[in-house]
Amino acid sequence: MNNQNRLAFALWLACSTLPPAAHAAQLTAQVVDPAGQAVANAVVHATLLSGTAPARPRKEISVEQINKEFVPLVSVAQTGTLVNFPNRDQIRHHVYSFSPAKTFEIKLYSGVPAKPVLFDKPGEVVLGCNIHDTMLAYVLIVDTPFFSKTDKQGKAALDTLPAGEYEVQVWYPGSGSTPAPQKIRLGAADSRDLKFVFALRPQSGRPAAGK
Amino acid sequence: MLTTANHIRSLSAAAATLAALLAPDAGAATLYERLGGNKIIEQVVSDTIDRTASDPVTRRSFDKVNLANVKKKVVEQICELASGPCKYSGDSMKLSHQGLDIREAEFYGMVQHLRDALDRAGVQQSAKNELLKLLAPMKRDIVTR
Repeated sequence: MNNQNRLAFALWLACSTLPPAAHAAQLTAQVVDPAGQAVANAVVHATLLSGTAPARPRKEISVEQINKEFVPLVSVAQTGTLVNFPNRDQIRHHVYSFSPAKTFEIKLYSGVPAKPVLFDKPGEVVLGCNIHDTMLAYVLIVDTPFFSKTDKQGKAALDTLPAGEYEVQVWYPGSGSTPAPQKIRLGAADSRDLKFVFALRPQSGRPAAGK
Repeated sequence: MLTTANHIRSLSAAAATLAALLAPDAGAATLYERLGGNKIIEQVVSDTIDRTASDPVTRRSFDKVNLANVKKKVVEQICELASGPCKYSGDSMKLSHQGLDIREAEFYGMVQHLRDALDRAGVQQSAKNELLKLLAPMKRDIVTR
């Protein structure tokens, strides 16, 4: 093979080993209240309606206890995720939930790592502490691997989405009225911006301090 | 119509009942009974915890704590300690106070609230002292400085 052929062959080889842009669609969601103000801590999740979503390995998540608070307030994970509860305080905590999606309780002693808890059912899990009753957190478990949480600007980004038809939903802790889901179709490398508007400004989700 | 024999029998029964009711600290009664049973223990614990959790000297370690849950556990603990029909289901004193950095002044402050609550509930001195003596060894596991 002469040099020109070698170069052509190398280029062809390089191009043919590039993966097709099969999972390169992305969407960003802007979540606001009726006045147009950003809503942070809202979970945006997209369910692939056509076919099955590719299996993604479940990454463990953590809900820490820091200064008698759960951090973060809102977590989202796919069904079958292990959730850790590291206690960063000097004092003990006793996390529990009565939510149907995961009913459990564990004693969490300072400096003693506890086994993670498997959240194996979709749904909203509300966490409390038996000892400190102002402690509150939410874990939303969804069947889809495509989800994100809105930041202070009310923005969430979902990427590496396979092409297909999706139903995109918004969830907010303790909220009775959420914006209507949106159905969209994404091509292989599409980029879409969606807007979700709450009919009523949702409450922050944190209970008032003091008892 | 009461015969003389029946009359004597019923009078004796009445006298025996009256004597039992008036007998101070009958030897066979448990401390639990002499404290006044669950009703008094619940009242004393609730009173003690409420005051301890609001007194500036002692309230620090009760910050943000669910008092109702603590009261339930303390009632269990005292009930069992006093030979009552309970089984304490809470953590050891060491574990439950770990990291709270309880000082002697705070501990004795709570003991004083407990003394006052026992007095307010009309618990006899002998029963009160017996209870305090049973609780005293816990100081070692509760106070860290």
